[in-house]
Amino acid sequence: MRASPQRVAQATRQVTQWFESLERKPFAFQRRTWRDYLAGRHGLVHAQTGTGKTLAAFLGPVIEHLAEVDKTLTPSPAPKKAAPKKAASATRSRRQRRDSQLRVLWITPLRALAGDTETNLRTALTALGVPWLVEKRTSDSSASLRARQQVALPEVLITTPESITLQLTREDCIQRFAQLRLIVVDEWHELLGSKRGVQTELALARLRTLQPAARVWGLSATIGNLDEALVTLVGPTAAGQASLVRGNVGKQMEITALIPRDMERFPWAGHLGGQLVPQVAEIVRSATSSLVFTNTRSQAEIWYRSLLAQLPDLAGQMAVHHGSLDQKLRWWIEDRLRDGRMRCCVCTSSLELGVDFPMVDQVVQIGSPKGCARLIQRAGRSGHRPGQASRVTFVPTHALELVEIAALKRAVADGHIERRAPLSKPLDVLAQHVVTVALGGGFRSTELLNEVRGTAAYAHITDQEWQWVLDFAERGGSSLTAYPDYHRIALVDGTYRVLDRRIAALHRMSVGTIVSDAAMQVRYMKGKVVGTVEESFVGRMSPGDRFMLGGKLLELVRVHDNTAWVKRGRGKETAVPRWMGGRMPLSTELSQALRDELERSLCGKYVGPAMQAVKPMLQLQLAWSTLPAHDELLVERWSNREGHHLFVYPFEGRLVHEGLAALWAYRLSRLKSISFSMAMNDYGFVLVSPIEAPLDEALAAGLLSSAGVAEDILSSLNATEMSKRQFREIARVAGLLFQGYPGQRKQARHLQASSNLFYDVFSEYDPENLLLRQARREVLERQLEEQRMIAALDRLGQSRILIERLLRPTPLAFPLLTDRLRDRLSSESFAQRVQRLVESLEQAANNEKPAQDPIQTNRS
Amino acid sequence: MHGLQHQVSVHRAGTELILLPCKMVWWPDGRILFAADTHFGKASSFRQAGIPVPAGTTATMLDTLSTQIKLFEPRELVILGDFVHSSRSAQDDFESLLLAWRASHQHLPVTLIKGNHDRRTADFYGNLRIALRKERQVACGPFTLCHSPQDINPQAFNLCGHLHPGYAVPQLGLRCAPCFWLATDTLVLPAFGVFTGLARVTLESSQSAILIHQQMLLQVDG
Repeated sequence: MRASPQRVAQATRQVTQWFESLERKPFAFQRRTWRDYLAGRHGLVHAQTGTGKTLAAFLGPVIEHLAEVDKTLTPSPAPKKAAPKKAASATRSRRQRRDSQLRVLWITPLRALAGDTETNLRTALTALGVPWLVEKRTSDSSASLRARQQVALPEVLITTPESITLQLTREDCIQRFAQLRLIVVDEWHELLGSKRGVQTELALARLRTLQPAARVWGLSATIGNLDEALVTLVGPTAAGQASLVRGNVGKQMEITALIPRDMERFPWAGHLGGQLVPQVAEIVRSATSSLVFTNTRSQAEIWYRSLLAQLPDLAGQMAVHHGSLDQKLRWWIEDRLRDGRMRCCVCTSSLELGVDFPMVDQVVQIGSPKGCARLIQRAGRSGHRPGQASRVTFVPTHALELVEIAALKRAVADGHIERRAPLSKPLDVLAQHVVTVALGGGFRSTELLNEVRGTAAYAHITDQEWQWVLDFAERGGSSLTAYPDYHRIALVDGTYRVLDRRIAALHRMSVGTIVSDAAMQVRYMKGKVVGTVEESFVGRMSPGDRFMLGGKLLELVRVHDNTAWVKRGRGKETAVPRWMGGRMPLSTELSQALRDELERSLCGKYVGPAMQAVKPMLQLQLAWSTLPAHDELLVERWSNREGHHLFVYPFEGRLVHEGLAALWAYRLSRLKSISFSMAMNDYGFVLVSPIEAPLDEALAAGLLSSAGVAEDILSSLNATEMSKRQFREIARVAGLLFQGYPGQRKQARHLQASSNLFYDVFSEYDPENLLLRQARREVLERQLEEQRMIAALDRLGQSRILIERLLRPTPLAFPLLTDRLRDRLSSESFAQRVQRLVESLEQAANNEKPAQDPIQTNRS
Repeated sequence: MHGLQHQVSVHRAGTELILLPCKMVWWPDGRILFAADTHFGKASSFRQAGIPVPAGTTATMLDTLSTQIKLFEPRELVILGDFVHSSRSAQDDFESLLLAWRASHQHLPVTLIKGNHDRRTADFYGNLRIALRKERQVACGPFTLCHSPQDINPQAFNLCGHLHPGYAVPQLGLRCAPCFWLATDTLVLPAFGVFTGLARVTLESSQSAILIHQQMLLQVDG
């Protein structure tokens, strides 16, 4: 029952009037989104946070509803005041609940966002007099709410990818989605490129099959491949008809760099940052409310403590916030940030997304954000009040990061934003999905294959791969290696179903693709949870040791039942927890911008205060060695009593360098049997060997060739070890690791085994298992960025190689040298060694006449 | 640390024990072979619960047992607990394999020291002609046998299992691998089962770990 154009126009006017009553006007992109939705199109809206994406997506179906209902029959109360939050559901009778039908499904990747979205949507509905129920359904939802939703879903359901997948395991899911009009995927850029994103793609494909009239709209921040994001969201077939709506931008962003007062010539990772604490404290004091972003959780803990020492009067108005702290504590901090009671919060990407903090007027970024998109996202957390610009102050932790910030500024100005590459056919996610669909009413093989091929992720899945996934679910392995006693799904009259209730329960417990780390809970003896740390960290500690977590000094009392019991500590801490992951590599876009920036300095152009500050250091680099132009690769050779050093600077980011270093070491040692030790950072890598490596010979023999890269890499690295680590996630998603029923972990223990064990048993007894192959592929694609490495090799293969013999390490070489030292020395002797090295190099630099004009090296 | 060895000889309680890379112990004087924590049927119970584990683990374990029996011609085989993994037995394929294996060694006495997993009915052990010893401690020559190290006899030298000990040598790039854990009064055997996990142990000064690496043994002293 489509409403007439007049009624739609009338309903749109009603919505516009509501905007006007708030002294606002709908933005052009909001109107366009409503129009396209009403025309039956799918689409993607991209804009920065806090610019009205939510109402752009949500009001389409509201207008549709207003145009459909007969006004004369529905008394519209249009209350003057916004009704209290729970009023709507409380006044609805049980009968109304039974009549309610899901119209709008709102999928958000962040549970924390659900609450705010709920409030926003309710406000709009109340003001427009639409009597729809708005409810959340996440893993936090109460039992009574779940029970109510068991009867029927509300008109608007806000949920997570995991919860929607769970809905799809219900036998009656077809009826439950019969009235579905709109599916919104919030923060789609966050899901894109992850297995959660693929899980969402599959769920969307299922929902489109169940209810073909439903439209899919994504909301996204700006990323470099929006077209691809749209295709991935709506599927390749529908993408031609879908809309890409650009939200109003216009928000100003100011990027400034904090220039150290005493510029250090020799950058030493992490060294500069500490000296800048007083300067950072000053700018924190000057702002109303600041977010201080760090790149790792350990850094957040350290900076919180240092800043608090500088600003003791702000105690109680400062906090540290990261993913390993207890959820309740994080909520408490977020509440205070929202209403402005928090002057400063040191945080990690944990506060990068999500609800807006209107009081925050300044963002400080410690260390390079390593990518333009991340900088924009973090900067966008400030300046939410109208007319206010986003302000971000960048605090370099070593001198070369000043070049990065100059490069970042230019890349942002030129609109070079990173892509988020979607994943291609991860079979573990599909293996989980077929069981989900088998539970949710069952499926026929060809029908589900067609549906799955309608997603971007599995558009190119082969018949063999599909058959393997079916076999895996039905028999465990391919038909030749059928596993006895094993049936996850079974074929009954041409339809695959789950017959065993135990398997159904097990599957519902394990839906999802999020793999939590082997984390250990940290708890006070009195019972309060502080957060989590990695098991390996606790493993190295003994009772009485003290560490910082959540800005509090804690003393380990004992470890019991996967819990580290602590009490408040006194004195000095003995360790700072380190968490795995977190070290983001330089993005492709930023790498490119960085190389451009260096090339400019080669021509004597130092634009902006950051480049001016770093000028003496770059001039020294030019005097002692050189800098590479965009079509050159710099290699420096230097020997001391530790061995022969080969410094290589591709400027391609840490992950690529890790692969390149292993590749070079492997290819060099094929010519001459040498063992290398290595270190790498975002700018380059160093190989150290007891005898000199045959570089010229190797270059002639194709050291930089991209031919056979994958094989060489796999044989050069401890590929088995890396695959094993990657297999953990795959094993979890494919349903090998059973995490236990909630509240009764003990009973399920006989069904628990480690992913390592699975990996070994599969390798031994079913080596053709495609999940093993997937692990190897993921290592290449995700851990080593194979494609990026091949692109880098292709670029380097075209480059002129500049080989410089050094008398002493250069400013570019120094951080690599210290990174290598750090791995081998205790922290104290490390600091002393580095200090001595800096002094001797400073002396050498001062004794030398500064190079007159660095442009006049013998290259043009 | 000693080099990689094919077997490690341990002198305790006035006699000699030989530790083998197949995770078993041979006592030459008493002509007894020991193994612990075989966990037969673990893979099968996973499969029944819908968790895919490839078949073949049971056959591999039984082959190893047979090979060692042929090699040493023991007077008796002793399992130090956790012979079978789960109490469910509806449709176990491994039982027939076990029976066939037993038939091929029908004159060999097999004793099981009851472990916490051994909850099958008496018929099960009866059919396999396994002598089930339910006591916590069983004397055996100069040794005391038990399942869990909690039940050891401090006056004797004990052989036990239960822990599934594992040890890692990061300096050598060795991941956590199954190991024998040797103290002055106790030897903890590694889990014999192929599909079993590991509990990482830390060594005190009087202790050693003898870890299994590529069918060889590497002894590390604490």
